[in-house]
Amino acid sequence: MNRKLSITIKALLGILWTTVFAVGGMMLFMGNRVLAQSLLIDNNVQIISKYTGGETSYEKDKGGYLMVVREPVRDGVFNKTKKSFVQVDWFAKESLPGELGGSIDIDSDGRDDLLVDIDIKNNKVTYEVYGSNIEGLASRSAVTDYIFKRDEDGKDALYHYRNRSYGGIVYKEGISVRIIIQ
Amino acid sequence: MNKTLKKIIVTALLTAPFAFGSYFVTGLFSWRSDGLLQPISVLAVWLFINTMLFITLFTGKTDKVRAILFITMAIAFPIGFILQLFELRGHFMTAVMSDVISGNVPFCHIVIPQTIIPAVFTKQIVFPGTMDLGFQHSASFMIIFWLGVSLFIGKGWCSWTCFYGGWEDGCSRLSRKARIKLNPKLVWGAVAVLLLVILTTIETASPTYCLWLCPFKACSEFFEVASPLLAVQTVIFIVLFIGLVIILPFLSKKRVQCMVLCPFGAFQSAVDKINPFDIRIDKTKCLKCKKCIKECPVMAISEASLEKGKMGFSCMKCGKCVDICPGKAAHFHIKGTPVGGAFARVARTIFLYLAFTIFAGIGAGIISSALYRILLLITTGSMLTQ
Repeated sequence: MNRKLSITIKALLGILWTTVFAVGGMMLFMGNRVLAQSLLIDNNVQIISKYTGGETSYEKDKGGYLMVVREPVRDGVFNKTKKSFVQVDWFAKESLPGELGGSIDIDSDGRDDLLVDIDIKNNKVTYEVYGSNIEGLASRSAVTDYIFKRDEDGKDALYHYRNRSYGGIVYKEGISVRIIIQ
Repeated sequence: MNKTLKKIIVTALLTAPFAFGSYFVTGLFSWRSDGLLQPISVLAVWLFINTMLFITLFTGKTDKVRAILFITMAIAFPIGFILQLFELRGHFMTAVMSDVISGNVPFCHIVIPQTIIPAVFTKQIVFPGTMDLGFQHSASFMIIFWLGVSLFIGKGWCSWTCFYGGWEDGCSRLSRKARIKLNPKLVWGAVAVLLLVILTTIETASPTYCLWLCPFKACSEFFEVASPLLAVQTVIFIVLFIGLVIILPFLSKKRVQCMVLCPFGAFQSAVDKINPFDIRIDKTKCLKCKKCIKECPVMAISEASLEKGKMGFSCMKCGKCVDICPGKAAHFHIKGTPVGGAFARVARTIFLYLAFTIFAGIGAGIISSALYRILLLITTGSMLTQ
């Protein structure tokens, strides 16, 4: 009798387990957006800065397009590396001018650290370094690691893309460079 | 009433609730296209899935029907996926750094085990892409979807949901007889890869499996070969695809990549412990013929596991052992319930409902997307929508 009761209870628990999981799974599918928002996005789970370029340090409206200077990104999950990069973006709602750039204050200390000239048409970027902590521009040639270049002619350093969302707005054209700093 | 007719009516009644539910899950009611091609594609896939469910319920056979769905999904996947990314990025089958920075990199389920520890402890996803809810391949969508599938069918993901697995499942079915015999200890390979990629991902802050080991770049996308390092990685991807997904499955009739290399499969084996479904052997009916040991595509059954009546950790609930067992000793099973009998029929039916629901959610989209592109090609001469 006891054995029979034990089998029945175990079977009922198994069926209850299945029911709870089936309902739970269905809720996860149906509420995917809401749950993704509340469990992940609201809890500030983010794509690692190494790929996105990091948090915004400051923005400048350049009239027709926007320049965004990011916080330094030090790659690593639990550890932080000595070498890091700062990403600078230029976003345009319609299209970027053929040439853009200018002096950039990388570390927000009020002094310019770098002069960048970007020739979008020829996919070329030249730069002049003022700050001693700046090594150069990261090459676009590697996905796994960033190849550090010190060349004046940084034509491989330009990341050119379209339809990028930033601050809730979709920009039709965007350009980024990554500046390697110590 | 004729017995067969009665069985057809009962099966139709069992299929009807799914047909109604899958009408919504497949998106049949909400197509956005102005033309007829998209609704025709979705309708065809909806009919296909429901017919397959009817057949599996009617015949009592699981694996052959599952394989048809699974292999169709795997073949269809690159067609829709590659073209969709081409339209998004403007270049074909390659990811470049601009795509990485702008978040136009789809999040893949195989990445989940590598990303879960950094995500829990540092709230960082170590994979390019986006959390944006508007992007259907976003990390946030895939993580919640994975949780749902894990609750529904656990490790069954690997034989019902994985849009890559059908390639080696298909290749493992091409030959009539296994030409080579693999060592069952190989199933630990995926566990070793899992540990390796978790540690190296944490150390390098890069998804190391995706950068060095993923054979399925061959049916999705490669990185732009812009450096010698990337050239080496590309060669590795192609060699692994040809070796582990095509040649070895063909020779051994086993899903070699899944057993030996896939970190997601090993991770899902651990996650499966919380799932109520498994496959069990009724020891009183087992004829000890060892046919299941020989036929299991992931070497989940050994003499020791037969003694216990339980599958090994690599079991992905494909149902092959249930179909082929001459003594009818292998059964779908809900943990806690008795093995076999009416409970087995109920367990199988509920499992099939859940597995087909997931398939309607993901597989239907993949197959209808590919079918839509093919219909576009036939009617307009181009597979592109833009």
